[in-house]
Amino acid sequence: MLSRVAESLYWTARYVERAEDVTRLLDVNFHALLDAQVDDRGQAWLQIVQLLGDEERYAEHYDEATAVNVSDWVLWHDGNPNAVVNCVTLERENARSVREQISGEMWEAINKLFLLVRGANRRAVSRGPHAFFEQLRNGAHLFQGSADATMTHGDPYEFIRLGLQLERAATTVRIVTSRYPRALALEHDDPARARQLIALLESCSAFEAFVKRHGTLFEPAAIAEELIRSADFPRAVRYCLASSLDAVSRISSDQGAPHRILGRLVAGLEYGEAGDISGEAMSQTLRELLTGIHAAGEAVTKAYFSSRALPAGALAMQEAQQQQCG
Amino acid sequence: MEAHRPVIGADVAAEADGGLTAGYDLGTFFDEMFESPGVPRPHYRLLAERLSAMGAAQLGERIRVANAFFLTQGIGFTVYGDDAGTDRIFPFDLVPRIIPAEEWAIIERGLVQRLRALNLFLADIYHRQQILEAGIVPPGLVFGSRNFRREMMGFDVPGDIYAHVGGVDLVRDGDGTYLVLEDNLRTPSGVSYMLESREALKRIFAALFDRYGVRAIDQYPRELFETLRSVAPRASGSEPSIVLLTPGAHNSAYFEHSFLGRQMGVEIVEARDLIVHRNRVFNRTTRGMQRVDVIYRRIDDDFLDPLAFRQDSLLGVPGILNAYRAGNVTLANAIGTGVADDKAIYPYVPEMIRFYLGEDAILPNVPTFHATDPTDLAYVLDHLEELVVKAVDQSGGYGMLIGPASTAAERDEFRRLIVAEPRNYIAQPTIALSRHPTFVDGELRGCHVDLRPFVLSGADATRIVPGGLTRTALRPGSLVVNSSQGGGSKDTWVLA
Repeated sequence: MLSRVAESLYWTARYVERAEDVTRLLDVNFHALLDAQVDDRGQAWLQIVQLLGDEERYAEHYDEATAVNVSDWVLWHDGNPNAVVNCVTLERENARSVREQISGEMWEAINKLFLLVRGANRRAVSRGPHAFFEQLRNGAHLFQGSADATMTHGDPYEFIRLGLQLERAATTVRIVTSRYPRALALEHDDPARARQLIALLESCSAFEAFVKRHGTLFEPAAIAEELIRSADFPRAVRYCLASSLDAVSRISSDQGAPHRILGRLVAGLEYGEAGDISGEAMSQTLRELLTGIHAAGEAVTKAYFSSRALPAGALAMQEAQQQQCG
Repeated sequence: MEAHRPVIGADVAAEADGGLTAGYDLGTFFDEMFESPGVPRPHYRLLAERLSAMGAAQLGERIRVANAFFLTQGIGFTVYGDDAGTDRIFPFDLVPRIIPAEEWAIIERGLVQRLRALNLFLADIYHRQQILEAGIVPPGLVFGSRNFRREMMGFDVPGDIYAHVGGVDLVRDGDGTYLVLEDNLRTPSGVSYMLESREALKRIFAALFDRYGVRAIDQYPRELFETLRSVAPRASGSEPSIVLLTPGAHNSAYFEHSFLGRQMGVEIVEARDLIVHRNRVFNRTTRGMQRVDVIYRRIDDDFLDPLAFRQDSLLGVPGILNAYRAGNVTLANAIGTGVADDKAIYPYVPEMIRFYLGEDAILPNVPTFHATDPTDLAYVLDHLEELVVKAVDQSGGYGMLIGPASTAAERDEFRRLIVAEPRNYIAQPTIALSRHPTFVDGELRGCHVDLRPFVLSGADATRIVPGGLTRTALRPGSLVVNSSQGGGSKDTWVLA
């Protein structure tokens, strides 16, 4: 398939997943804070911004971290490339340029998601965000589900899967990095600790899955194990990276850089020591994972896309020419 | 640009007395549906009955169904000058235009004749130039055309076909006579709207289709594919690799490019997907380079190859002209077809038909004045108020003056432009374009229409799907039907 098309599909999937992840983080925070005797609400909101890696840019636009400010930043702000409104715009732009490659159902799902977000009444959303979040999550799931159910599982599908799984792996690593140490820093019998651990699980849609397997003790080591090294929980880092590896293997049989990098990451998680994800070693492991996922993304770009990117100034000119040329 | 309210979603007034056709005003124009007030033409009788049995509310409900269909399908039309990337719903009117079989038979013969002559003209212009020698077309008009491409001189295109896809704009005058308003031989668009309008109408008027015997049009993508296949370079074998080259997602017709690509099952490529190596064209794919044989390109000559044409083009494929001239790839349409749809050449098409085919033109032209002719020029400058003036190298309703609807300032502006560059302008009497009942603001109103059938010329056959894009002006009294100027479309039914 065309390199450009592969690239657009990959990014469409990443942006859909990103919009969903970001939404879920907000949703969990809103709910966690509802029944909290949380001393420092500002801290809880700032944490979201930190987790998404935009603390500096955020500080340029807002004085303090409040529910209103952070929601505005994460959902709507023009200056935030990861804002949901920008994710859905980019995902639709990407999908639009490869419409013939995806199924009609997928295009419809993307289009509805776009219309939902662009047409949202922002005031109403800030008054009662839950319904909006739920619609948005459903929209993302509809896209992902229809990719699975209505599209031929050939190369284009594998690039969608690859984008989705890499994005998901990176998000889980970020969530654990941000939330886990904070929970552990609290006293063992502090009720806030359990609540934080629950919020961590919910941020990864892992609450039900975890409770089914481990009950309600919320043992930190078990939580880390579930979120990082589970072979069957779909947002566990290992599961996502193994799926990415599988997608890469289906795309090409030669063992290029994407294959080798993902293979090493998966093997490290599969055959690592229990100590890798507890205590001091944990933050080191998480850092290495994030670096590794980033490297895998770059290797994928280099191996399959190799697009001739235009300098930023030329993009506007290209767009203008596209409009006048036929 | 003023905001345009699509017909779809128009507010529907309360149920009118006596159904929708009651109180319909014929005006002084040729009406496609009614021969006199309340009396439909025979081929419209069933439709008129259906419409008068229906109230505005019922029709409005059906429009909402169609509206939802277009919206979720993401069928949009980007208008230059608006915020790019903002799709509007495609303005579409649900009252179909109906053409009886015997009327269509004449149109079809006229189109085949016209496109044969135009293709012969192009082959002649780029080879022996006999028509210039014979003194039938003034050489200055040919060589002075900015779409004449000397790079094409002496080059034999596969099957001698230049304009593989042609869109011919037809109008009907006050007597109902079909006239050719202009030819579109470069990258004519609109065929996807023809096909999508049909899909929507089938949902809205399923029963009528049955009773009418409407001829199918959904074979268009297959016929386009066959046409492209027929002109593949000989060396490419029985299954040539065909791609559609688009300027990109910001082009107003991008939806159509994507639609046709999907329907034909061919790859849609942008220039950056293609690379020329040793005069051969390749796709960049995730598995390396893959050879391309035929390119259905929806991008103007100017932008096609920065080495040959506009150097600043960011949409072109460097070296593609050489690959083309080496016979390793076929471009459809060919380079340089614009010289034949130049509005200054247009008045000579009937004479071309006589010269190449020895026949009289079946479909007449609209009478046309040349600003290059001193007598014509004087007349044009004196009568701007009655004439339609067109820049010869513009399309899509841009660069036009509609005399009767113009202001004194606009006429002064055009007077200045015409005197400065007479080669650039032609003028035509304002045609009293035929009108067709159209659902606007909850009632049927007569709106001006034209018809753009699509003619596919292959090395093996000429193919025309029965029908075309009927465009309708949606602004009251407007004569401009281009979708970029607030026009809409209608489904066109050719009867069996």
